[in-house]
Amino acid sequence: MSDRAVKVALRGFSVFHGKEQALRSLTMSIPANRILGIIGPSGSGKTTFLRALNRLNDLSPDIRAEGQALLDGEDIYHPDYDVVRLRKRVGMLFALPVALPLSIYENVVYGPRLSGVRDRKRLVELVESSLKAAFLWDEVKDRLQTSGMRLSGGQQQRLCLARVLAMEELEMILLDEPCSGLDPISTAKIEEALTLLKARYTIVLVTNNTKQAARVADDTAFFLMGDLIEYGPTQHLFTVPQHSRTSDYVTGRFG
Amino acid sequence: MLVAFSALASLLLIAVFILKEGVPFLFKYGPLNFLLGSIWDPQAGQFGIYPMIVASLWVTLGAMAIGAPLGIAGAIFLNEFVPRSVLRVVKPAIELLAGIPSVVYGFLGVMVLAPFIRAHLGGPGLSVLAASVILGIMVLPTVISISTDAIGAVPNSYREGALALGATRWQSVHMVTVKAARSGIIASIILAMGRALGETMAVIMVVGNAVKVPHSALDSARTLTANIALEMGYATGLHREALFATGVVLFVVIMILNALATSAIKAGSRRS
Amino acid sequence: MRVPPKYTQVLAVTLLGGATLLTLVVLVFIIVFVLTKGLPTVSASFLFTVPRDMGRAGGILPTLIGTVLLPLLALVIALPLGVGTAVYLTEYTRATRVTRMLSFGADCLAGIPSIIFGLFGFIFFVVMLHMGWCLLAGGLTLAIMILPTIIRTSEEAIRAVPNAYREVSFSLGATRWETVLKVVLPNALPGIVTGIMLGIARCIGETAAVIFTAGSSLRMPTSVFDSVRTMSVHFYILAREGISNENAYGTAAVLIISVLAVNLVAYGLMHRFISRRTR
Repeated sequence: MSDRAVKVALRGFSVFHGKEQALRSLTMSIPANRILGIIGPSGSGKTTFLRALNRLNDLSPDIRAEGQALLDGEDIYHPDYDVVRLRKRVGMLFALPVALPLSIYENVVYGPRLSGVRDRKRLVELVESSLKAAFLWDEVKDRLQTSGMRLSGGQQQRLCLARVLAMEELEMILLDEPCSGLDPISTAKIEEALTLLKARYTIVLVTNNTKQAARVADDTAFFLMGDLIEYGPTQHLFTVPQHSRTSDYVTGRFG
Repeated sequence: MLVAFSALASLLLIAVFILKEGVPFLFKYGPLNFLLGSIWDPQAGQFGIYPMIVASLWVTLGAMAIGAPLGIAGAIFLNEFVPRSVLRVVKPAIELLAGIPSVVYGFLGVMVLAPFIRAHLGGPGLSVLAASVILGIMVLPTVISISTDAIGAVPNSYREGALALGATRWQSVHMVTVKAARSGIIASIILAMGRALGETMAVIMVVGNAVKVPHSALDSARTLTANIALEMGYATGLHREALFATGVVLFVVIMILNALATSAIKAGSRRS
Repeated sequence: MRVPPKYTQVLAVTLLGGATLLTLVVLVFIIVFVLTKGLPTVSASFLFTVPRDMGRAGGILPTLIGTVLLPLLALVIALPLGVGTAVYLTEYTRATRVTRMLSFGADCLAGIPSIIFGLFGFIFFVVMLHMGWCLLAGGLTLAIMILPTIIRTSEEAIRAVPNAYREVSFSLGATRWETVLKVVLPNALPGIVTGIMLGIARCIGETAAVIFTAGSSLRMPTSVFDSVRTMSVHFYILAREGISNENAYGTAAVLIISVLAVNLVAYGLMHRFISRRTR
C-alpha cells in the first residue's frame, strides 16, 4: 500500500470523550481513490474516527483530539487550519438520512450556495449531475421543487449523497453506516454509486454489515474498543485474517 | 454578543432608576414614618403609606381567598376528572381570557359589581370587596395555568400506585397527586399574589380610592398601586419622590414573591 | 360513622366541577357582556372617524392608529434583541454562569408589574432623556416589557429545531452563523411568530405603562415624538371620567376582539408548528 498516493495519514492519533479514550493512538494511512471499509462492534470508536476526519467532533465540547491527522500532508487539527473549508473537501453521510426541510433542489444547492455559487445555470447543472451520480435523478427529475422530506428513506439517503457530491471542492466522502435501515435496492444503488465514485474521491465507509464491507471496500480496517486491530486489503482480512479477534468478528462469533 | 445582555441591562436600568428616585426620599423622610405613618397628605408634606399598605394587603389576600380555591379546584378538576380533549380546548381558552385588558375588568367591576355590592351589602360599592372579587377573577388564569402544569407533571405511576391500593379517584387525587404537585401549586399562588399586588388599572376603578385604613371589606380604600397611578400625573418634587418610594416598596416585595415562587418550583422539581 | 369513600368522591367531584364551571361561566360572561353592550356602537364610522368633544362623540380612529403603532414600534426594538438573546443562549454558549444570569435577568423582567414599567419609562425616557410623552418612549418601554416573552418563546422554538439539521449544515461546510441564519431560524419561525403575537396581545391590553410614557393625546400622530393614545388608555379615560359609557363599551368591544383575534392567530400558529414538527 505504500506505493499508492496517501490521502489521510494518522500518526499517534487519539480522541478523548471527557476522561475516556475513544480512540487509542492510531497510526494508519488512508490511500486515495479507494474505498476503505471500517468494521467492528458498536462502541469501537468507528463513528468517532469518522467524525474526527471532518472535525465534526468539534461540535461536542468534551471531545478532544491528540496526535496528528494529516490530509494531503496538512495537519487538520492545527489551530490555524480552516475547518469550514475542510468540511467542503470532506463530505459526510449520516446513518439516519437527514433531508433538510427544503425542496430537493434547495437541498442539493445548499452547499454550493455557501461556497458562493450564484449562477442559476451552473446550479441547475450541478443539481442534475449530482443527482445522476447518486442514482436518484430519474426518480425525482420531475419534482425537484417538492420537499425532500417526502422522499422514502432510501431516496433521502441518495439525496444526501447528491448533496455532498454537489460540493465542488469535494475530495473525500465519509459514510457512517449509510445503509442501515434501508431496503436492499436502495442499498445496492448506493453501493454501486460508491464503486463508481471512488475514481474521483477517497471513500471511507463505516459499516455494521461485514458483508457490505466484503462487497464494496478495497481495504478494510477492524476496530475494537478504540484500537485498530487489523488493516489490510479486504480479501486478506476476510479470508486470512492475522489476528484471532478479527477472524472471530468476521465469522460472527461476536458482534 | 452584546445583544444578549439587553434583558439583563434593562432589568438593571429599571432597578437603578426606580431606586435612585425613591430611596433618597426614604432617607429624607425616614422609612418608619413612611411605612407606618397613617396620614397621606402631600399638600401638608405628610407621606405615610400605612393605609395603602393595609389596603393592598387586604385586597391581595381577598383576591387570593377567591382566586386560589377556585383556581386550584379548577386545575384539579380539569386535570384529573375530565378527558384530555376537553383540557386541550379549555386550557387555551382560559389563557385567552387572561389576555383581556385589566381596564375592562375594572370597568365591569364599576358597572356591574359595585352597584350590586352597594345594593345588597351596603357601603359605597366601590370597595375592598369589589377589588378583591375582580382581582380574584383576574388571577384565576394564572393559578389554573401553573397549577395545571404542576399537576400534569405528576407521573402517572403515582396515581396508579394509589388506585392499585384500592383508593377511589378522588382519594388518589387529594392524597397523592395534589401532594406531589404541592410546590407547583404553591408557586402559582405566590405568583398570582405578586400579580394581584402589582395590578393597577382594574383596582383603581373599583376600590374607591379613599385614603384611609379600611376597617371592613365594604370600605373604600386605596392600594399602593392606585396611589402611584392616581397622583403621578401631577406630582412634583417631594411628592413625586414619595410615589417613587412607594414604587420601590412594591418592586422589592414583588421581586421577593417572584423569587419565592421560583424557588418553590425548583424545590418541587428537585424532589421529583 | 365514616362516610364511604364513594360518596366523598361524588361530593368532591361535584364541588370541583362546580368551581370550574363557575370560573368558566364568569370568564365567558365578561366577554359576552362587553360584546353585547359594545358591539352595537361599533361601526365603520366609529372605527374610522376622529373623536369629538373629548370622546363623547365621534369615533376612535387615532386610538386605533396608536394601538397599531405602539406594539409595532415595541416589536421593531424587541424582536432583534429578543431573538438575538435567544440565539446567543442556545447556539453560542453552553450553560454557564453567564447564561444562567442572562436567563435569570429575563425571568425577573417578566415578573415586574406594569406600573413599575410605567414609572421607569416616565422617569427614564420621558424625563431624563427629554423625550416627553411620545410614541418612542412608549415603544421603548413596551419593548422592554415584551422582551422576556420574545426571548422565552424564541428560545423554545430554537431548541426544538432537531440537532441533525445543524449537523448536516456544518458537515456541508457552513459556519455557525450561516447555520443559524439558513437552517435554525427558518425552522424556528412559527414558534418565534407565536411569541410575537403574544407580545402584541400584551401591548394592546397594556394601560398603566402606556399612560405614563406615551401620554394620551387624541391627535393623529405624525412622528415618533408625538404623544399618542391607545384604545385601552382611551377606554380607561372614557370610563373613569364618565365621559361616555356607550363609547366606552364600544372601545372595550374592539379591544377584546383585537386581543382575542391576536391570541387565536398565535394558538393557530403554535398548533401548526407542533403538528409540522411531529410529522
